Amino acid sequence: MFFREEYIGEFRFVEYSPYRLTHPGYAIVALPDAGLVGVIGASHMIKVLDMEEVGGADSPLLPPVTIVSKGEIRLPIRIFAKNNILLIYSEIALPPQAMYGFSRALIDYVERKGSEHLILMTGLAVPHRFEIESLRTYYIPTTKDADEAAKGSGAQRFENGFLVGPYALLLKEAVRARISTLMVATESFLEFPDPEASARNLQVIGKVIGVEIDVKELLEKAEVIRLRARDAMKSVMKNLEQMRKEYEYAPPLHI
Amino acid sequence: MSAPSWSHKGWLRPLYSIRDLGDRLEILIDLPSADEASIEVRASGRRVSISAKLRKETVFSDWSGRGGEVVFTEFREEITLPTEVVEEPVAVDVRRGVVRVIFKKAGA
Repeated sequence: MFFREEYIGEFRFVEYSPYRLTHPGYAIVALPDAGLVGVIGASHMIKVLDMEEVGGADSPLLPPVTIVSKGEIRLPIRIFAKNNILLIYSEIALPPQAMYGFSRALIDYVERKGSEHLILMTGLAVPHRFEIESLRTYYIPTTKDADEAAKGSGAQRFENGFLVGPYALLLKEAVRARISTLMVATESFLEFPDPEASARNLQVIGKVIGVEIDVKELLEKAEVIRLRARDAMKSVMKNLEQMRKEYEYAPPLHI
Repeated sequence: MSAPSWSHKGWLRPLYSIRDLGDRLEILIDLPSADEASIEVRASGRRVSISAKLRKETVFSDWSGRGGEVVFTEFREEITLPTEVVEEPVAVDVRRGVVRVIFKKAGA
């Protein structure tokens, strides 16, 4: 049963119960991308922070998918909340043609729910990930506030390069909407689920939002997560190939 | 529609990727929870077969029906390469459950 539903563009947002974020409100976005870093990290965050599923989003632009979770029918894009944190989570890869409308609708929605800052949680695919022991995390801010928030987090600023995929569009829309946004991307595999990168990413995001996120269990269960995530990863790779993700490996000609 | 990456007979298909290194092909195979001593990667012409036992039986018991009742014990996969390779790999390396195998291209 829905408490409330609202259409923004071609997206329908529903809420299962009333909620509003406390100050300072953070909206964290976790969508399938390199190594499923955001999705794996967000799933862990939901568990350790005991976040409540407060709503979801759907659209005719998305694949015809329903999620059954603990016997309840849920929408492909799921929304969790606790105190000042909103988490927008999807394991289903959003088709490229849905991403433009989704970016705009999402930012509109989270601002109205009290989000002052948007955090984009993801992996940064590196071709030599197999050889890397110590993972670096990068950040991309859209405002001075976001830049300040990232300082002291252990991440370094990403200065030059291409970004391809759902977060590339979200960043552009965030600039247009003038919402303070920080993309946090940790070096990861592109084609394999990478819980180790998710753990590192969560530690940085925890520092940015001022919440300690224990990643011990995530690291302990990393192998089981990798086993479970194989089908999701395969499906996401098809989506990323469509978006020409390999552009990210190209150095830009003009800086 | 692609086949599921698991079989009700108890085996899982691993994720893998192939990279062309000029005169060699590099295959990365994700084998989490695999018993490293049991990993076998064999090439013949353009075909590579992969097998590995899991260190312990694995059940995704919170998954209703389908694979949720299956006890998984091993990985199995057959890969078709873009070109023929020399059967003996140039290098085999395992790190954190990911296997990297490099084959020389036949005739290269």
